[in-house]
Amino acid sequence: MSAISIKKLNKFYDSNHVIRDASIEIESNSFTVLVGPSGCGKSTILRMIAGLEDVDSGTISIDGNVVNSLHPKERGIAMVFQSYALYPHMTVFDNIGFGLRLEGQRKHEIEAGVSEAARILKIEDLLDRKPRQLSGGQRQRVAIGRAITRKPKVFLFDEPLSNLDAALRVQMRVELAKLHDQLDATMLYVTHDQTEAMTMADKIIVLDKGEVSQAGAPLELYNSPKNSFVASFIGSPTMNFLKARAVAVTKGSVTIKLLDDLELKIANGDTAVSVDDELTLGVRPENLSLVQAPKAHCTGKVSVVEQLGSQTFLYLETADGPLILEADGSTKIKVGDLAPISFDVKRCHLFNKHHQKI
Amino acid sequence: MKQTVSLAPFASPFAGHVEMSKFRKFLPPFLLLSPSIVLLLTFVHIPAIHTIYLSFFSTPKGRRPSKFKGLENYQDMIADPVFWKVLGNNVIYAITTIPASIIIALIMAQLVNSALPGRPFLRFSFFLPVVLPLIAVGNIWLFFYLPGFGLIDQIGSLFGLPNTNILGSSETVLWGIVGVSIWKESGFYMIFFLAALQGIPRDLKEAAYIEGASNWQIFRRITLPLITPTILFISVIATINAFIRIEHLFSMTQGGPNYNSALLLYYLYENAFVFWDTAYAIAQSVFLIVLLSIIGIGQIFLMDRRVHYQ
Amino acid sequence: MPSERPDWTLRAPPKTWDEQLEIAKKLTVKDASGTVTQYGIRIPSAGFPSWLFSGIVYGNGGKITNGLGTATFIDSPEVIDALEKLVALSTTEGVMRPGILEWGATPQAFFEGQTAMMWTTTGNLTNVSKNAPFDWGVAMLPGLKQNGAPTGGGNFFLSKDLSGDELSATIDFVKWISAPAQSIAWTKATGYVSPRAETYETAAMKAFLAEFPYPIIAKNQLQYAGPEFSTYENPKTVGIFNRAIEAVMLGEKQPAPAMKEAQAAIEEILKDYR
Repeated sequence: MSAISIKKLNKFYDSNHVIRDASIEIESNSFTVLVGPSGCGKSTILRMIAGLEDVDSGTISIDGNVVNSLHPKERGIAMVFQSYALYPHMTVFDNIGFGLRLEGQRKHEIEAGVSEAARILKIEDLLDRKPRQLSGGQRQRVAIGRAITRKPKVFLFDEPLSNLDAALRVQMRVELAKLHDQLDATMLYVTHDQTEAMTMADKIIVLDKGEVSQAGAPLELYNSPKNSFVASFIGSPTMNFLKARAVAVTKGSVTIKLLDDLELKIANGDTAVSVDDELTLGVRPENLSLVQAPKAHCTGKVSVVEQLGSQTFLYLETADGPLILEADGSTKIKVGDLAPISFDVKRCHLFNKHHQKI
Repeated sequence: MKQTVSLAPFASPFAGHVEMSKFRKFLPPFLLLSPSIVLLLTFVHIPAIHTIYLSFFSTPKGRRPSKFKGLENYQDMIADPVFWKVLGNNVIYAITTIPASIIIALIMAQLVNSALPGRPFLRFSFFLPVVLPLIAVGNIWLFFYLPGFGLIDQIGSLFGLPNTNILGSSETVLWGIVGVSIWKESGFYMIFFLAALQGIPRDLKEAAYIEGASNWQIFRRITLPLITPTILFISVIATINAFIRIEHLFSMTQGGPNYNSALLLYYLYENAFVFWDTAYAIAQSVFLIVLLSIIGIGQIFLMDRRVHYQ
Repeated sequence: MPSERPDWTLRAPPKTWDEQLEIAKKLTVKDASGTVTQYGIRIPSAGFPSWLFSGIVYGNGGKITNGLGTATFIDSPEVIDALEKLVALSTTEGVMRPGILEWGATPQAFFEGQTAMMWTTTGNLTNVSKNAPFDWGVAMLPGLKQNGAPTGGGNFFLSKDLSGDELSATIDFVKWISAPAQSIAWTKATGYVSPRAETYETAAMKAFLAEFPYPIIAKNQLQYAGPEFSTYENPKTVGIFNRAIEAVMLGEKQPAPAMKEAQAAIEEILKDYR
């Protein structure tokens, strides 16, 4: 059963239609990531689930109950804010126990709840401190601890790692994933960072301009993007896009011609495409390779070499447009060299002029 | 230390270089502070001490020069029933205007800070009294209070209430003054509260709201603790104002009738510049300075323990 | 100057305190609930009640100072009696609004029908003639035993250090400012009495008074008037006197003890000057 089920959700700010007919299913105990560029409406959806924003139309259900008009505390959710939103005048103990205290729990119950959360997050020795005496990572843990004590059905995270430095972010990613296994709860996580989405999620929901662009498992989105937006958003470095035109269509394949008359035969399903259609060819850097000149589809001039050790990214200028190519870490190629390039035609994507995959 | 020595090649590396470097260490900060020290001494400390000194002398009158009287001015003060009356008035004035104007200011700031329709108009209305000089405010309220045809009696007559003579009766005149002060000061304090409220991140209130806090609990447990520095600041300002802002008395009651609305500073003024009994006025000044110092320091000590500074 | 409201039926103004009280009672109007909607009389008192009060004292045959500034007689029976009579207007007689009454609001109260008669400064005469929306009149202050009135105004002081051109210029200025031409303009604009008797002999003043005769009443009343309270350390002594009158009007003190107390306090100050 879905932990959260969102149907035809809409939200307007004055005349701005910020969420458009969004329908989302979030499975119980999943780690689902809502991802998209800033302004895509991901935080707004999270805040609507939390009860911080009103729903203009559509329904939000948690565990089968429509919660549109319920107070946040009745929704069985807990939220971790980007700023952590720790109460600066309270100790860590009081911060974590605040919700329990509001529920009118007894002193020993509050103490038990707080120490349980502190144990899970390994912050037992910080309980007497004030937030200003904590590091960013410690504050993050306290914020999560505050969510844990309320034993929610759903944890909502609003860009919780964006205020941390890079190293700490990687570490917290791992810890959040572990925490998810440990708590066995549904987690909905909002981020603009596709790496976080890819590394943490069971399921990714990509939002674009208030609409759900595609939802699915990380690799499903990576390998079979439904449209050029998802294709470009997921994956780093981003997918290469080249202008193309269909020159021959057969059952199961399309032959396209690029700007410099290079012809490629790309595998294609049943989607309708006709000769002379304007298309976009999408190919990821790792689906391009350096080959011996005779086997090459085309050549490109190397403008930038990015060596990461395990692999090397080459930024190439070709007659068909700019390309990024992933070569192995030991390549000797230099800026200014002419690189012979081969396309893995089984791994190429074609998009029509409406940006939809064909 | 090494750096100091290396920067002072003429200093002996042996005896005395520690003293020398100490001197060199303290001289620049002292020089930088000296303009402020000179100004403070000239305009604050020396006049204050001089005032205390003068309070032991009599008022020079015509051919009789000032002569040493010891504590006589203070004894006169203690024996003066009017002094006790105005001091009592001032205490009542302070303990009513301060909490009332702070509470009203906080309520107005909350109102103005919330998403109400007509917010700019509300802000303007609440702030209006602040830009008016107190003496003009006194004049406006003089008309509100006029017996028979003043605003208050006109409104009262709609409800069949009898006419009042607020500024002309000993029981009500001080409350008339208190009302003016609250009206005037609340708008001013509201500005500080508004700034403090807007300094509280929205996330904090949202976090508490999600955790199930009611509006009152959010106010009591989140907002109020976070604005305690502002409350302390305003209560110090308000206490001082309760003793030094008396312009409305000039335009409204002249402290009357029969000193029923006179405050300490007004009586001090009257002694100094109407009766020209300067020695007595100086003794009252000393009393006022000591009183305000004790109140101010006490407030800071008392509240410091409960104030959360971010 | 008592002035009267149009809805009175008695056309003759009161000449004595008793007549004034009798008329004031008739002119005091109450509504069905017993609330007074129009008082019979109003004698303003805010700030310096001793001024008009001294007129009542003179009308009672009393004195307030010895004229030298070294002694006051404010605990005399005439003063205490006068004060009792004044306070009675708003207490036992109920013909005057209780409490301290503002000067500035007094003409307004008269115009709006909140009081049928008022005592006020001659400087209000022009104001009343311009703004009273009804027929009205002016009379001398009614006295308890005889006519009596306070005097007021300011003084020109010539410093003893002046000499030569400065002195003659100063004298010229004082002569000029009190000359009939200036005085007539002043009297016309305000109603105040002109300081020099000769002003009243000028054709211009006669013409003005022929058209608007009320200012002459104040001038004619001067023969019954007494001096304003004035002693050494005057701000302090007159302050004590004023506060004592206020205390009585507010009901905080009784007339006799209040006046005796004030007299003793003033005595304490003035004894050094004898």
